[in-house]
Amino acid sequence: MQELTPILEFKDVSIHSGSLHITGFSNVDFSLNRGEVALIMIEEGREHIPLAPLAQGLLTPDSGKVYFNGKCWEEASPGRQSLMRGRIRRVFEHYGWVTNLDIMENLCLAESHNTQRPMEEIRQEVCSLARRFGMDGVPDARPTRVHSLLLRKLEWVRAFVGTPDLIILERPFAGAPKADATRLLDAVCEASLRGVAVLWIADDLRVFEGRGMVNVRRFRMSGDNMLAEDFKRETNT
Amino acid sequence: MFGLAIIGKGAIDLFNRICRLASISAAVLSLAAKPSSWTRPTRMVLARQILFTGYDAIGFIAVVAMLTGISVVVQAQVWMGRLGQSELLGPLLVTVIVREVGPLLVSFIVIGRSATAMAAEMAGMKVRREVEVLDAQGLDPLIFLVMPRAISMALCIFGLVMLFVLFSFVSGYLSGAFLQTGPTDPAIFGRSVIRGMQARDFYNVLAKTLLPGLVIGVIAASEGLSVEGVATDVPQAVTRAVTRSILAVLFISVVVSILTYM
Repeated sequence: MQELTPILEFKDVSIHSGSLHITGFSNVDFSLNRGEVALIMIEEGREHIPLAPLAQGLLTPDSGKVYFNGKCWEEASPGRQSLMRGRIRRVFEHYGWVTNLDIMENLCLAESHNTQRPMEEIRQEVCSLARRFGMDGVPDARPTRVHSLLLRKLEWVRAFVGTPDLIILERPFAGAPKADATRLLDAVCEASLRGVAVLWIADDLRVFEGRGMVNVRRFRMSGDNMLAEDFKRETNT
Repeated sequence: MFGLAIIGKGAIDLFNRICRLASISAAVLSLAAKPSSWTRPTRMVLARQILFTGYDAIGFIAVVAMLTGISVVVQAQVWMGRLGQSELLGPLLVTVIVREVGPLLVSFIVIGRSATAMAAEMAGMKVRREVEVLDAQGLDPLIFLVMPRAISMALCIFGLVMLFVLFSFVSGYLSGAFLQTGPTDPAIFGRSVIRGMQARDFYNVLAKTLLPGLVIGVIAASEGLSVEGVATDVPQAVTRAVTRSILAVLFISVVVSILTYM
């Protein structure tokens, strides 16, 4: 049987805290296959762990390698790296908007740049996702004119537009109404069933309790290391 | 010895900056030649930049061109008439307006109006980590931010110089006719100017508009993007962009002028 290439793979990755205002870690090893969800629990006070920038090849580890779709980021040319990043969607831990574009342009940006899909089709998908996440529509304004609670949910919309290989959710509930958690969890489950890999970086796993999710792997950043936890509970139902 | 070391370090820094500028400009031109670079968002940035740098500047350029035309053309007509060299009016106007004043003035206006805005915009994006947001979505900052802006600068400066020349000659002719310092027949004035133009003027204008435009765009964008995440560095980046752009425009102008007369 042909071995499947993981969507994302960290091989013995270490990065040290430096001038980049990041929290370092050592010897992290994990892989994420198509349709899997990796929940990584970050302890309070250890924010800014640069898992997402490393997973996207935006940051080079001090040692070890990060692979996306079997290709090491460091070995890919800048053009190839951009194409690879076009297959990834992300909810950012920090402000994740381009302020000189309006919200709709922001939401359609990655898809219109990386694919040939008609713009009208992309806009319709964006509006449909906005309704799915409990919004009446997409605000006709620039991000600086939109409330941060709404912006957070709009970041969810952007993360699910198109057919990415990997979705990275960096503390997606930070600043978002908890009442909408179920909508995001449902969307993650559906994406996972479609074969999308999801890397979910969280600081509070209570939201997942009692929630049936398939193909979930659970990790905890403890000290400088990342430990795989018992994930039998999440792999049922 | 200490003074020599400072001069040497300055020379090495200048050489490195010129090499960096040349390599970014070459990368921009190489990317612009690839159809795959011109995705929908990139075309949108180009269109908006042309609107801001070119279209929105037409009114101001027209006023400056008319004032320049009145002062330069009328003075040229008066002095050529006094010296009995009226037949040299066309070549003189072409040399002054088309080859030198037009490209330089338009470049300086674009630097003051657009390059400053561009450098501040890029620096602001860097400070707010928006460049990382673009990069994370598969949009190469060189393709999405730098290339369309530099190309639009080049196109806009070329277009604005053409308008500048047109407005300054028209205003010059009208004021000359009104003050009776020059020919009242527009055909005579037009023929004089056209006779003064040579093939090399065309290459001169191309080199003095497209090249500085590209360089101004690259300098403004790269200086803005060189800010390392601190808001207080933004004004300094804008200042650097202005001074370096002015120096680059003057340097290119001098080199092209020398080459034109060689």
